[in-house]
Amino acid sequence: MSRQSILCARLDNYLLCVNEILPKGLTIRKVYFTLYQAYLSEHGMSAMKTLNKRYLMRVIPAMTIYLILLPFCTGIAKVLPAENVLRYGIVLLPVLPIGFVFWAVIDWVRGLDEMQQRLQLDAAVFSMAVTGMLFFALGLLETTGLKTLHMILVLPSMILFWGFGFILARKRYE
Amino acid sequence: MKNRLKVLRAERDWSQATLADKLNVSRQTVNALETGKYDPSLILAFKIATLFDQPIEAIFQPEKGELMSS
Repeated sequence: MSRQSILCARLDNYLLCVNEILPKGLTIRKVYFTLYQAYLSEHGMSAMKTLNKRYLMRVIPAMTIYLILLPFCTGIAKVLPAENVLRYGIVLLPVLPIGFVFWAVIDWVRGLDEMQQRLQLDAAVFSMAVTGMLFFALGLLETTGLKTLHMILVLPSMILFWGFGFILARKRYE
Repeated sequence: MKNRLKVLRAERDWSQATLADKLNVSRQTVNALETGKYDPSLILAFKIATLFDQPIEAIFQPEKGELMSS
């Protein structure tokens, strides 16, 4: 029996015990029952749907925090005096939710089935290769004095090419 | 690799989504398996064989020349 099955069985037992303890007619019992029904419907969902839902529940709040932090932190860092070392810490704050998003992506990929994992691997390699070549070429152009793209665009371009790579990889199995 | 997944699924009147749920994979994976675009791992092949209560070789057969060494 997997660790997840054991945990689900324990939670099932726990919820049933709580249900027995609570007096009938009590509002909290109704509230609890509604929550229990919600838990059951979640528990009955297919593993893939649950995985995708968990992924979105992690990524959406993290990206929201990132989008709030980005203009806020860069704005504060600009107005702080250059000798204030605090500005370096503030300007790096948006990296934290992005780190959380990457952790959620890794956890999501680990939960995918074998073919989906292969698609994601293909997409990741494609993204790494194209972004690597693009920014290597731009780096070489910069040695000639040409002004090219900002380094901050590495991450968005990786995400963009990951998506493009996924579409290409998926076509092979359609 | 050719397989009888589509036939076996139809015999049980299951949709691709139902089979996907039973195998704990995505519907796209079931579709790729059925069309022969994706060959399953040994563990997934065993899971499929157990689900349909048939030996692996009764479900999956290599294409002509696939077993020949290059």
